[in-house]
Order: sequence, then C-alpha cells, then structure tokens
Amino acid sequence: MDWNLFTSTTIYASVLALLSLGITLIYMTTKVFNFAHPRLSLVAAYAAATLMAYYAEATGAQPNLTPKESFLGSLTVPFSWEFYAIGILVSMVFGVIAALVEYYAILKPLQKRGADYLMLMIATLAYDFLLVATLFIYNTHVDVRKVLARIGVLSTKMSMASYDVTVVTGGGVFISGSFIFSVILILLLGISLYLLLFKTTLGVKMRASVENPPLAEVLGINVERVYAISWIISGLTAGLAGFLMLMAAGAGNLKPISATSPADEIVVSAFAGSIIGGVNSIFGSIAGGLLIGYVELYIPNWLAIWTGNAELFKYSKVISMLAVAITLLFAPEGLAGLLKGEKWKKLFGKKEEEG
Amino acid sequence: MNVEVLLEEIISFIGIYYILTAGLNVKAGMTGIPDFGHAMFFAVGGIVVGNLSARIAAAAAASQLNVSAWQAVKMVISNNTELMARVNEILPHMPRVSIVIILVSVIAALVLGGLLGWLASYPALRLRGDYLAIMLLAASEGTRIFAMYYKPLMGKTPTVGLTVPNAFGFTGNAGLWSTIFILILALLVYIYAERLHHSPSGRLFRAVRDDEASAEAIGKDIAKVRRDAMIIGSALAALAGVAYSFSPWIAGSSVAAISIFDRVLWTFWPWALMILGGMSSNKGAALSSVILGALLIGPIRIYKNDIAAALHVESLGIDPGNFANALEYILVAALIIIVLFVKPKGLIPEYPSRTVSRDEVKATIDKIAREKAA
Amino acid sequence: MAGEEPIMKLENVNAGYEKLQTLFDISLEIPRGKITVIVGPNGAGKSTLLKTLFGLTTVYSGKVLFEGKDITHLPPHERAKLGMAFIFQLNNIFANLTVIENLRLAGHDLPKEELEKRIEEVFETFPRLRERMHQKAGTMSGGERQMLAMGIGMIRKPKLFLIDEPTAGLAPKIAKEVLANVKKLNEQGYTVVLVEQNVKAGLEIGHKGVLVVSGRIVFDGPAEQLLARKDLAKLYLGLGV
Repeated sequence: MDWNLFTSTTIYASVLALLSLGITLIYMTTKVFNFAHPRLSLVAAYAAATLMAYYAEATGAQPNLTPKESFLGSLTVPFSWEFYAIGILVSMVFGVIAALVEYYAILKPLQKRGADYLMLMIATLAYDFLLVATLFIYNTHVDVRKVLARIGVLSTKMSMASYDVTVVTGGGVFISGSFIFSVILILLLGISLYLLLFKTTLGVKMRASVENPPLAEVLGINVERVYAISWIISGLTAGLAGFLMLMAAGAGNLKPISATSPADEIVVSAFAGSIIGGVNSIFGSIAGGLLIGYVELYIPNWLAIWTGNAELFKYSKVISMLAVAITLLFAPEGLAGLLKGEKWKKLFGKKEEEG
Repeated sequence: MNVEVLLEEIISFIGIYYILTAGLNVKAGMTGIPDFGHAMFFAVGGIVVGNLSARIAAAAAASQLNVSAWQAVKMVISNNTELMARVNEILPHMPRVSIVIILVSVIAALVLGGLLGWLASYPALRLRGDYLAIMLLAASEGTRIFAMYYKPLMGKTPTVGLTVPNAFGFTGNAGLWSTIFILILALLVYIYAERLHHSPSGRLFRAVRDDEASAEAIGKDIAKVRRDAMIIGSALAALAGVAYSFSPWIAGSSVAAISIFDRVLWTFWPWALMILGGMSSNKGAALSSVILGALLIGPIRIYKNDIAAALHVESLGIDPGNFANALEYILVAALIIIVLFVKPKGLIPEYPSRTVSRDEVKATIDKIAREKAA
Repeated sequence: MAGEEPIMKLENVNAGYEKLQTLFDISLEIPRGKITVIVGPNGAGKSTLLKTLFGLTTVYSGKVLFEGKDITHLPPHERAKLGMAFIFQLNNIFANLTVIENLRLAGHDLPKEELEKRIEEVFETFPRLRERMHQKAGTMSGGERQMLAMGIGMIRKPKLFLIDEPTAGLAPKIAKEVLANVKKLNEQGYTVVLVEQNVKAGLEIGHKGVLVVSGRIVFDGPAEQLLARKDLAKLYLGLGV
C-alpha cells in the first residue's frame, strides 16, 4: 500500500471532516448553509502562523531540522512543543471569534428581522468576502511578512509543512506529526461529541433544541444558549481545520494557503461532505467529510492506474460534485438517512411546510 | 490613463453585468429558482467564443496560413496561442468573416446556454430551496473543474485558456465598436426583459414563485414554467459571456476556465446586484449594474492609487495594489450587508402587477349595460 | 374561592406580532385552580392572547403579572421555570422520540427518582400512554399526541397550563376525549387556560369564559353564562339558535 498517499489523504479527509461538521452544526441550528465557514479556518490559520512566528521571535527559536534517534525512529521536531501548542490554541480561539462575529453581528440580527434562507445564505457570502479582503490586506502587510519569514513562511503561500514534526521509522516509513494529530483529533472529536450529546444534560438540551425549538423552550431549555454553543463548536472545529491546513498544506488536495485558496477549492468538497453525510446529522457530517476526502483522492488514483491516464487525477473534485448531485436527487438525507433505513421524501415535505 | 479606454471598460462592464443579472433575475427573481450556479451558463458564452468561433476564424484564415481548414481547426486546441496570434492578424482583413463570427457567437451562445439551462432545470424540478442552491453551485463547480482540464474544451493550459478571435478588428477601433455592440445587446435584452416582466408569462413566472400550489390548481404546468425560466435566464447569461469575451475588458486576450467560471464574479456579484436592485425587477437590475459599474468598481479601478494614498495605506504597511483588490471585495460585501439590513426589498421593490384601472372597469361595465339596454 | 388571588393578571395590555397589533387594551384575571376558556371567531386574537401569557408575542404596553410578579418582558424559557407550561396546537411533542423518551426529556433537569415518580403519575392519569410507552410519538394518533403533550407538561409540575386549540383537526369523538383529559388535568390541581375552537364543548368543561372579538374582550365571566348568552352566541360564534 502506498503509505504516503494514505497519510496525506487522511490529513485532507480530516480537514474535510472538521469543516463538514461545522457546516452541518450551523445548518441544524441556524438553518443556513454557511458559505463563509472554510474561510474561518483560513483566518484561524493566519492567526496561528502569526502568533507562532511571534513566539519564535520572542524566544529566539530557530528551526532545528536535525533528526534525533528515538524509540520510534529518527524523530525531527523543528520547534519546541510549546510552539505547536500555541498554534493549536490560537487557531481555535480565532476560529471561535470569527464564527461568533458572523453570528452575532450579521446572522442573528438578520434572523430577528425575518430574513429567509436565501437572504441568510447571501449574508454568509458577504461575510466571506469581508474575510477574504481582510486576509488579502493582512498577508501583504510589511510587518506581517517580516514576522512570518522568521519561521520560513511566505505570507502569500503559507505552508509549514517543512516544519512539521516527522518520524522515519526503522522500516523506512515516513510519519508526519500532522497525520498523527489528524487521527487522534478525529477520534477524540467523535468520542467527545458522542459523550456530549448522549451522556450529558447539555447534550439532551442540544438535541431537543434542534428537534423542536419551541417545545424545548417550553421545557425550560435556553435554546438561544444552545445555538451559541453550536456556533462555538463550529468555530473551534474550523480553527482546528485551519491549523491542520497550515501544517499540512500540500497534503492531498490541500494547496498552499493564500487568502483566496485553498478555501475556495475546499468549499465545495466541505459542503459535499456535509450533504453526503446527511445535512441534519452530526456524525453523518464527520463520516461524510472523511468519505469525500478518501474518495476524492483514491478514486482518481485507481482510475488513473487502471486507464493509464494520469490526467484523470485532476478531475477528483468532479467526483465530489457528482456525489452531491446524486445524493440530493436520490437520497437527500445522505448517509444518515440511508442508515436509518428510511428514504424520506422529507425534503419536499419540509420545504412545502415552510412554503 | 486613457479616458476613452476607461470609459469603454466601464460601459462594457455595466452592459455585461446588466445582461448577466437580467438573466439571473428571470430565474431567481421572477421564478424563485435559487440558481447559485449561474456562472456556468456565463462560461458557455466564453467557450462559444474561444472554441467555436475561434475555429471558424481559423478555418477562414487557413488558406493564408498555408494549412488546410481542417488542420487549422484542430490547431485551435493543439496550438492555440501561436495559431490565434496569426489568425488575429489576418481576421481584421476579413470583415464579412468577422461579422459572421459575431453573429454565430451570439446565436450559438443563446442556443447552447438555453440548452444547458434546460438540462439544469431537471434538478430544479425535484429540489427546492437551499438544497437546490447547493446542487446548482456544485454543478457549476464541477463543470468548472471539468472544463479546466478537458483540453478539447478549453485548451492545453488551464491557466491560459483559449485566445479570443479579434472579431472587431476589422472596424479599426475594436474597443469602441465592441462596446457599442455590448450596449446594443444590453438594450435589446432590456426591451425583451421589460416586455417579459409585464407580460402574462412574466406574471405566470412570478405566480409559480409565490404560490406553486395555486398555480398548479388552475391548470398551469409548473414544470414547463421552471424549465422555460431556466432556458431563458441561462441563454441570457451565455449572451453576457459572449459580450465579455469580445469586450475591451479582456481586450482580445484569452478566456480561461478559472476566469469565466469564477463563481464570485459571475454568480455572487449578480446575486448582489439583483438584491440591490430588487428581486424580479428588471429596471432594478439595470440600475444596480449602473451603480456598481459607474459609481463603485469603475472609480475604484481608476482611483485606486489615490484612494490608497488618501487612507494612508502605505504608512500602515499595506501594499496599495493589493489594497485596491481587497477594496472591491469589501465594497460588494458592505453593499450586500447594507441592503439586507436597510432595504431588503431592494431599490426597486416589487409591487403587485398593474391591472386595469378602476375607471376603465367602470366604463366597460357601463358600456355593456348600455348595449344591453339598446 | 372568592378573594383568592388570581394566578395571572393582564393589565391594559396591547400586544401583537412584531409591528402588527392584534390585542387592544386587554385586562384579564386568570383564577387559580380553574379552567378558563377563551373563545372567539377566527383571527380574533384568541391564540395571541394565550401566547402573550407565555411571552411569545411583542407587548407594546401594559403589564403581565404572574403570582403578583411583573413578567411582561420575561422570555418564555424563564416563564417555564416559573411554573408555566404551554402546549402548542401542532408539533407539541418530539416526534422522533418514543413516549418514554419524550417524558424523560421533559424532566431533563430533575433527579432520576423524582422523574420516575412523575412519569408514573402521568401514566396513572393517562393509562393509554403506558401502553404506548415505547412507541415513536410521531406515529400516534392526534388524540394520543395531545395526551402525551399534556403528560410532558405534567412532568414539569407547572402551576399553570396554557393549551392552544387541542382539538383542532380532530374527529368529534376524539375531541371529546381530549377535552375530558383537560378536565382530568384540572382535577389533578392544575390551573388551565384553554383556547378552544369548539365553543360549546369548551365552555361546558370550563369555569370561566372569555370571548375575544377583533382583539378585544367582549365577555368575561362564568362559562355557563357565556354559553347561555344567545345574542353573543349568534353574533360571534356561529352558534345557531
């Protein structure tokens, strides 16, 4: 098996899983497809990179690329562990901030004024543009460029892949820190979401608020607080996705980050993950995101080998788009719906009710 | 800065965006189909010009290039940049061929755009609301990626694309005449769209948008209505794509998948314009296109350096050039947000259809009563 | 009975939805431990009145009091905590959960023992629910769903039940059963405010009757009196003589 393909695909699939989860959470609570969601990750990535760079500057750290022998193999840790920890924390914080600004400054006020799904969707577009503009200006700022150069990152093509923690085992297998981080993250995410939703009171309140908000309100549940928490979780996952993108740009379908990409390329794949998993299912979105990630990279790979035509690899996103079309037309509840064994025509029923 | 060139760019910008937005208006504003994949129909126009029309030009110029017509046609893909450079030198000397190319482009775009719209109407029959919006967006993105890499469609280099044939070269002043051409197109579209809006068909489209069940109850074929809206609106989008390809804006360079399928410029901006102008309002689409072009984008592009200097951007450490690009994004975003909050119905909100006036009704009743008495 | 403080009071309330005013100068007392029935023609403001008691409308002026406390601007989930339960006309249960899950969810903040005790009380009052314990709520009949909705309300041991047109869309026989259940609820000690489309049946189980026409109260007194007022019945309620 091609180990490299597997690890880079896993990282990409994890990013998609995180993004799809965020999109689904917002769709379930605020009932809108948040076009700006992938851009939140980008904001988080830029913030993380900047603060990591400032940390390096403050502590006078230099990247140390000489491998040390450990029980795992030859381990390369270019910067201190605190350095990476800062990146993770900062990305989560900024993801949350960007998400909450979107909710409280734009979406919630519009909802109060009775905006319909179309207006809300377009509002998320507008917020996306604002974020793009901000990042555009930010990444050409003279001081920012200087600081980022400190950690060897070009502000216009942010990628810290060369400073990722890496291990080369005795058997010659190359494992990147991002890969391990992705795997652990997704596992932890799944477990903690399960515990949260099914084993805590808050989880019960969240599920009730999504199922029937007015009734939940009547039962003394503060539905608005549930929505706020959903946005926070959405921001957290967006931030983590941003950190992963920063560290692993170049893995799978992740191109080096700039203000306008890969958020642009990844948007449709993230939405595909959300829809295929089932747009009203949290675990569906994680599964959907992972699935799309693997499908996008493995299927063209197999096709290319089978037909001998390497060009086919470039059409990977077309597969996701076809998957979205087929899902929406024939199984609108996605994987979650299929697993429940019911192919609801809920799609039509829902839209007609909202008339 | 050449004033004439600038004016041509701004006017063609307005014309292109008006036609594009009018097309979206028919689909989304009037009929309620949330088409977030509008860009792909626009791209059809670009492909028609860069692929189909270029081949016609190549075949016509073949003899002067010492190749057979068939070879020339093939070289449009295999050897685009060099071939088209030579073709574009020859084309200005062939006025009749140039005019044929222009006409063929318009007709082919309308037909192919309409055809693609017809195809796209099938999901529109089965899906609604935000699901349909995402579906059409996904279709547009998928088509974009496909076109980017499928060489027979958009050439060998995804970033360069296909060079546009210099069909207005024969006039001696391509910039001026292509702008006039775009204006004429925009005017024709305006007349058509206005008549459509006030016609029974227009009312039917809006009826289907507002209350599908009632429209169906009085025997209207909902599916046909939505299909027609998609065909018309998409054909108009393709027309805008042709206008763009010939416009002084790209000044005869190339159309590439990344530019003509760009969802920000050709889907989201028309949506912003439609909302600003007022959903379903054709006059609103025209008004907002003028506002965007003449008052916003135009001045930004002209004065970007002055604006950057006035805001002391450089002293803040920001690169003025990038600032101008960012400014366009900020502007459109601010526009959308302000409109959504302050005037969500747009500048020209939709009013109930004009029906016959009370006096006319009374006069008719009196007339009938008199005739009966007689 | 007389002289006992009303559980809720409305004082000169003007209310509506956003900018559309539907209630004009409403003053009303809700007596403790009784069934108050609100009737009136369609669109008169019956539901708005009920929703105003729970904080689901915009109050332009006036006061809403609960047990003497001013709750005019208190949000609904806070009113729930004070002891008010609202049963919506539609969508008043968690359709995807079973009966028992619905009841457990209703008592989400109760200690386990207390919750089980209350669920048992609900089953005693409505034995049919015990039979359907593991059935998905959405698959039950209209009448059974209303029963479950009341059961959900009971778990929270509210002081006041606000019930919005529980018999809407139900066959007459089932409607009678539902109203009988409302009476059962009241016999357990709960104060009820009921909006009812079915005037005769509603007023028959009620103690106090309120007639709302065009957003104003036209009659406020004993239910049997309202039922006997043929003039009002004919004018407003479509009850033929």
